[in-house]
Amino acid sequence: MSEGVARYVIEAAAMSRHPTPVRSITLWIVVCSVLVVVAHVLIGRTGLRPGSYITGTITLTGFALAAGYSARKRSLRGSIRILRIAALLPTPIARRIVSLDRLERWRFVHVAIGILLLLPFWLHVDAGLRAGRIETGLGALLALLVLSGIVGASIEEFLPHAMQLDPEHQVRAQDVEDALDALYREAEEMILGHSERLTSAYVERIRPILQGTQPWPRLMRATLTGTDPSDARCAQLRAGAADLGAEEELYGELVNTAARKIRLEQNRFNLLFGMSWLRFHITLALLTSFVIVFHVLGVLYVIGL
Amino acid sequence: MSSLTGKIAAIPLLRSLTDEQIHALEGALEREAALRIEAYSPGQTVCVKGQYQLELCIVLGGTVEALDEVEGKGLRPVATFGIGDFFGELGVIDGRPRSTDVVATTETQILHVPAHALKFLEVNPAARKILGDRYRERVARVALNQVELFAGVPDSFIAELIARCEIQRHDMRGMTVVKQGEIADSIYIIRDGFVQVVRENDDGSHRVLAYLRAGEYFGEMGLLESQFRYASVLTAGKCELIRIPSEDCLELCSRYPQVAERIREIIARRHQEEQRITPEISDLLEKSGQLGVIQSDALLVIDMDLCINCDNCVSACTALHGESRLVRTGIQIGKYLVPGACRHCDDPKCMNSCPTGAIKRRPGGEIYFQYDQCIGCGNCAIACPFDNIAMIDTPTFDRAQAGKSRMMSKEFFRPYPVAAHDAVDESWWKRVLSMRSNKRKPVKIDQTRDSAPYVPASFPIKCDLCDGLPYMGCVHNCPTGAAIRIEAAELFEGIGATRSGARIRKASGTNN
Repeated sequence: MSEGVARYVIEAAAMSRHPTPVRSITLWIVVCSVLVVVAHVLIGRTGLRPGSYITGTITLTGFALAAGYSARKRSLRGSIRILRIAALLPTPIARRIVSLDRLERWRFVHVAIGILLLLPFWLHVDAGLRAGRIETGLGALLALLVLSGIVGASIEEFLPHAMQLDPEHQVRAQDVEDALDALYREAEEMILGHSERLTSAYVERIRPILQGTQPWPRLMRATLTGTDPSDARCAQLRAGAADLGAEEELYGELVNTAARKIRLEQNRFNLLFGMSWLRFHITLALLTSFVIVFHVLGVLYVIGL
Repeated sequence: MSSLTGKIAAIPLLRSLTDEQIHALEGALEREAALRIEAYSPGQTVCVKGQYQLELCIVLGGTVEALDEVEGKGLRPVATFGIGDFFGELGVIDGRPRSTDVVATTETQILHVPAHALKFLEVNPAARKILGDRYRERVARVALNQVELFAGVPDSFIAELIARCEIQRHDMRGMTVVKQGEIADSIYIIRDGFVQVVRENDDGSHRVLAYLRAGEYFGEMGLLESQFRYASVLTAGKCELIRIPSEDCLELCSRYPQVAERIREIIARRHQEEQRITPEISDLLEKSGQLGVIQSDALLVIDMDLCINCDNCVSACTALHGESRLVRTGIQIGKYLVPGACRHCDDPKCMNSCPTGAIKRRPGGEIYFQYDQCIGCGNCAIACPFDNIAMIDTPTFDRAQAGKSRMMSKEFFRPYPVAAHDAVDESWWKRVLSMRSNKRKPVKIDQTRDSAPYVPASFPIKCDLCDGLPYMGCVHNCPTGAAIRIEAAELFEGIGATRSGARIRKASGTNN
């Protein structure tokens, strides 16, 4: 199909310019996870376990490095500085630096560090030192942080396609809101000057949909299964059109408007869903850093610094 | 009294101007900086091949040589221009880049007439005719020499064809050039722009078969296969066509069988390609044509299967330029979103609408503003059919800061040198240590000073492909690689919708 070929052209252009080690971020996660497990097994067999201070320091460094992605994403100040220096270097080096600075690469490195730091963390836990409440909480937080990252990366990779099946799909939240407003106005204007029976049908059955919101589990189910959330609801509404006689056609149009409203709601939900995990991930990261500070201070206190 | 007086008699293009017209030209010469007489010493370059220097150059004194790459011989003179000759008519009339380098061979004086000042000459019918005839001859010669079809045909025959061919210019989309079923009386060579090939089915529906672009030709099927047009051809925007009558084409085919053979190969290939055009592809093509996507030299495309709606492309644009020049919403073709960002069109309406020539084009096709010539009239913003130019108020604009991103310019980041007006005199260590980003800061305008320069109330902004930076901010800062710049024709070539042909210009903006 045309889109397929167009995709090939775009991807060929993208790949030739910005190769990343592995195309799929999920596959990259799997590769890194396997590396962690294999490395842990090998270290276990050799018996050369590093001490808890070393593993702790490495974990902490990895955590800080992983956080660098977030900073790079939010500010170009560092990036611009590096690129200015790169501009003074010989061409091949400069090109390489520019290529390395791509956010896509940063993301891959971020994911790799996020997964690989599980190894020093695992070894740190294996060291068998007595764990208090803070350490237990920190362990849980770190595990949750990594898990949320994995889930988020998978959402980013696999869900966008399912989220955009609707041809009327909007790409920005404010566009969804505008479209919802426009839809409501359109429906209210359509009903003006029509019979009492149609008006009551509209007020009782369709307006609640236009004014209300769909429960999020329904929208989530629709997203995950790739179905149209308006199908079931609109089938019920259409069943009630039999007694409207000549105005049945207009009622049908109103039902279609309600269906579009539901699809727009799913559109809004998808936009939120696609990004809200990231907020959760960032909150966890902040919380984890906070607990790490307590943990490190505690350790320093214990060793008498 | 300008130095123009006294030389007019020797210049055929100016000879017919009335006293009043000469007076107007001389007045403009004093007023307008771009309309000027420049002196060149021997060996000095007047213009460089590939540059969008949209000026007519009239030699007032001395001689210049046009130099071009001759296969196997390197850079060689291809033409000499003496007193009264002129060059640059392709650029000034049609916005094309320089086709050769031009170098002064003696002490030379040249009158530079920019596109917006051409009216001072065109007002005179005789001058207009001289200009038009030369343009027609040059256009046909350049086009016929470029088209593969005429390879091996002697220059003498091409000269005969040039004398008989007709130049057709279309400024609007959707104009019918040939209609399906009509008698085929000519073939057309596309000199500039795009055309859409549409075949009507028996049931009244139609299919868009292809877009053809500069360097390609159509009308050959009707000529060699049947006597009737096989499909309709419509303009896909501004385009220029060279019409060669059928009798000349048939004579060409009979005298040079290799040409006929080439045409038959093309016909067979086009029939083959037609089989690939499903109704779905046809719809995609039609939509793209209607939305003007096909004409984009540097189209920003977001693959919505990869996009995670993080809006980082917009944030990066804002961080780099102060205001975002990108709106992450727009038309969607399949799963590809074409967001609101300058497309650096093949036929830039903004550039043509600028009354002062402040919108310029680099050899790669990138369109940019030269702010010191901008008067803030907003014509470009109105003319842009895609609403990709915004006007911003002057108090939030700093001309000096607007050029700061060019500090990054190094020749190895772009294949052409930075223009003199772009250069920023700043030492390298200041550039490195500077904590400034490329944001513009509010400019303080001293309105009390009489000598203060004219500052327009607003300035236009648009995507300049992060001119001066080694990457495009939006593409470079997309975490999933969803955003990419691509030449639209390249995209459509992938689906057989345009055919590879002689491409005159290609956007060189790197996606790095």
